[in-house]
Amino acid sequence: MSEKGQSLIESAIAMPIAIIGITSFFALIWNLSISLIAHHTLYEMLICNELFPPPPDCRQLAKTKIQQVLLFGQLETIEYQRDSSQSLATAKVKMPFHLHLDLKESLTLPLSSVSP
Amino acid sequence: MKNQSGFALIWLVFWIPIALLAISCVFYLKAWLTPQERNLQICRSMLLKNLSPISSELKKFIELNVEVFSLRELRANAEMALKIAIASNQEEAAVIAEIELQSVIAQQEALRAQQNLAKQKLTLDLRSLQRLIEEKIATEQRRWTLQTQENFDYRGHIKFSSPVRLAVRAMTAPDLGPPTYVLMENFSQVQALHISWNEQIHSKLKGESIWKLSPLYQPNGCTGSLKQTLVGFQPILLADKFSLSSCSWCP
Repeated sequence: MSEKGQSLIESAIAMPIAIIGITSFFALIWNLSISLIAHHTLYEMLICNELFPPPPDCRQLAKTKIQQVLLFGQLETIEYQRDSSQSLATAKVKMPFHLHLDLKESLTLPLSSVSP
Repeated sequence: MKNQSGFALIWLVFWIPIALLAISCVFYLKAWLTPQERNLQICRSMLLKNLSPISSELKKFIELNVEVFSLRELRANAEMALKIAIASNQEEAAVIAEIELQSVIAQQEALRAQQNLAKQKLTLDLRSLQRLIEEKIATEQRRWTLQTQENFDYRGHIKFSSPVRLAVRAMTAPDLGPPTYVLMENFSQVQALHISWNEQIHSKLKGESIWKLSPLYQPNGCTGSLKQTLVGFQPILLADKFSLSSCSWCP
């Protein structure tokens, strides 16, 4: 096989690997960024539910805010649960390339012990 | 072979800065959100924690109204007894009624002084709390500026609010001694303590700002107050324009 042919085969193997690597890297970075913002928003949703007067729909506000930053992703579910000692917010985000983000935030109650 | 090395080098030269920029973006975002979350948490926690003793003091202050009503009744009785004694020319009874009346008036004056003192203390406590939180957040902002000065240019500014007043109204009854105090309408809203600040950040590379054109800027804050309950007062956080941005229900 000529040197040119060998180089062509090597490139044909290396190119997809490089593209997959680069895409994965940027997908990871993108997920991290979305995850940071979404966690922050979920925590704010938990606080929002403890406010006075009770806002009409904190879940909807959080949903809208997360959807605004997702761009290529899709918010599948956003849930809120509360008992006497803790409130919990969870969200599932479907990202491009079949990636999923499972987000979870909790708040220790009563609110006088606001947790970070 | 030479060509391949050249090709790989071009790839690296092209992608490495982009990868570094992407990683920087995540750190930038993290550095942007961390002080916001921390300051909000400090503000909310301190408000709720420190409003608790104030709520007990306010309860005691409002409970003084019971004593006001009781002394008014005693005073009205003493005045009536004095009038009857004078009308029926009973000197001894008049002297006793007069002594009783003076005693009640003295108690009322003592109660008025107690009310004024309690009211001043409550106002002072509220103002001190407001300043305490503002100072704490300003300290945190300074600390964050120093901690991140290598990579970020973080600046925070406290918006010092006007001194808060105690949201109670005096109900005076002429010639009946000290007033009773009632809560103002929409007490929780009127009594609110607003703490607000700004945060600004832009990235630096080796001490030089690289994103001077579009620094992230965020006004932030929290609001706390007291809510009257069946057993007294309870510290609460109020909804405000910083609670969840883009909210439409904020006052």
